[in-house]
Amino acid sequence: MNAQPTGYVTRPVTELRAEDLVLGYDSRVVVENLNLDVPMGRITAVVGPNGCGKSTILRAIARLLKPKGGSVLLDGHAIARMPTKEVARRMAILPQGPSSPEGLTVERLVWHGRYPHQGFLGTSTAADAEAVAWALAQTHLESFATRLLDSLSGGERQRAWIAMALAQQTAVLLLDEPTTFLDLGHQLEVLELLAELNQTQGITIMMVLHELNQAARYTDHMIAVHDGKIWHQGDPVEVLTEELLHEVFGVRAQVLIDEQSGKPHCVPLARSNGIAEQAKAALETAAQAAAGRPVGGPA
Amino acid sequence: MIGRLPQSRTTAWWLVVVGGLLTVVAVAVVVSLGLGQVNIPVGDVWAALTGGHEEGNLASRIVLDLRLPRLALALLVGAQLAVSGAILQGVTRNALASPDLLGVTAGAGFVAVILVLVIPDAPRALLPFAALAGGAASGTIVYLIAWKQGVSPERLALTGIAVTAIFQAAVTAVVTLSVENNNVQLALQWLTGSLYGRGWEDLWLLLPWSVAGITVALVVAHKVNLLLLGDHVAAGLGMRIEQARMTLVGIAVMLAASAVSITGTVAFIGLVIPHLVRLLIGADHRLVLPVSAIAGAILLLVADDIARTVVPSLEIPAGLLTALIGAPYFIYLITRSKTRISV
Repeated sequence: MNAQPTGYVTRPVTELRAEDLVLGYDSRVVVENLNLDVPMGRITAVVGPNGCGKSTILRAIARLLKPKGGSVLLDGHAIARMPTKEVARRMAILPQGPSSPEGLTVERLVWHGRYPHQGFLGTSTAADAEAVAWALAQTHLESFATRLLDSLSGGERQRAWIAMALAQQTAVLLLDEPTTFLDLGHQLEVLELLAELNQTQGITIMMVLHELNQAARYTDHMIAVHDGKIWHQGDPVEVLTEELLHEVFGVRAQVLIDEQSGKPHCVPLARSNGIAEQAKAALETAAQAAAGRPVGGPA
Repeated sequence: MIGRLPQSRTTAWWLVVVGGLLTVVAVAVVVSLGLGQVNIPVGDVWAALTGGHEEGNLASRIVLDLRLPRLALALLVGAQLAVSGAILQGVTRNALASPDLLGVTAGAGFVAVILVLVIPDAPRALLPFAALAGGAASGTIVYLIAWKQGVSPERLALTGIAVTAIFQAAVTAVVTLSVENNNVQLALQWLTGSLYGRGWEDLWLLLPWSVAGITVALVVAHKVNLLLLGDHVAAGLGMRIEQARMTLVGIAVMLAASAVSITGTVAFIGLVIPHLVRLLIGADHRLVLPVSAIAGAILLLVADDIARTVVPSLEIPAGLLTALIGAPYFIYLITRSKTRISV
């Protein structure tokens, strides 16, 4: 998972971090004083409940959201002060649910990924053609090149967008919920592709994921976000715990270790404060009272 | 094969379309020069074009002094309006966008009318600049009124229609009030777009705006393609979105306003032509813009030909004809299902 880049990356990145980030929308502050170091050459998942700020953090790192305070540093340089094309040559972003314009073919979409490398007039070079061909090969879309984007399945379309990001030849790839609207098969298709890219090309990947088990299975580093703060980060085994599920997601669950992969796997049982739990607690209390034992003591 | 430069259709199809359109232009030009109150046979037209100006020769005078500049203007104005509409539809991701619908041509026409009819002593060269200011102002007004956490296509269209109506009423008022002081014909020309009486003077006035505007539009056409992918994707690819949008809209307003300053408000070209072109050649705007220019030129030329010859000894304004052709198509667009009206 820590493979060295094979030379496709034109502008290597050695460090990507957020320093004292303050993020919000209009007057609402969502994230405060966030410090985050993105592990290079590895796959990182950002997880958390709805509205915790995980997409906000990703967007800020991708320079799609202007921070209210603090900065994001790429190799020590604040990205807010770098020319946008410079940033785009080092970091590619695949936003959530991108819209496909009518009449766009896979090939033309992937060619757009060359924009940061092209001059003012937008003319294309042999290097551009090579990068596009490579990107299509990596995502196994060579035979789909002239197909219309709308005519593809969800998984294929997502692969096409990833191909566009690949054509950018960046060292870092950021994805905002790349699997959310896909069925299980297509979800695994995308995740396996990303794992392959990380292994063979050494691309640093950071993505926001909803599916905890998939996040644990396919990533090296997990960052759990809660209320705009990093609740815990580290190896999935350390992060995906019953404590995380209870405190951050409000879910009582069992965490098992999958024998084959050695990765944690959670089985949700019930909501921590749900009706079932409340009824159970009430019954226990009643049972203790009936048995004459002090209420609240050991059962 | 993989890696070749992208095309939305095959090369053969693209050549057929462009070749076909250019042929139509050539034929239309030759036919137009011969058509009119005095029908001049093709041979004489050719003689006039190649022989140059002969004082005594009526045919050469008509062709060179009257019809040639008018025809050239029709081509330029039609091209400018079509390109303006294509840019606006791409930038706003709104199939209903066009300089007329967004109030740009109405505002430009209004300021142009004031300059021509109320301040006739003002230097002629000022006209496109004044129209540009008017068009930019009215376009901004429409956008601001329509904005409510973003701009939906329907809000933009409705606001544009309302603001256009106001400016059209203002134009009518100015025209009516100035009729006593001016030639009625001159005043009426400005009620709806027309090429009547436009000559070499007007052509030289518009030409720098045409050349500059269309050239820049073709150079930045690929930015429209990127904007169509969505703001976040375009920004992620390294495009400065606000700058690109302002440049594109600025060019669109400049093209429409300068055109309108010469002819008055010619409606529907900017709305209808880009739709037809996208149907023919797809949504790659590096191709849509130049093809729209040619198609728009043809449409206005044909409209003007019909307008000045269909009723003998009567000049119908070309703008009336573009409305007659364009309005039914616009209605047809609206009645189609929503999912198919997209850029």
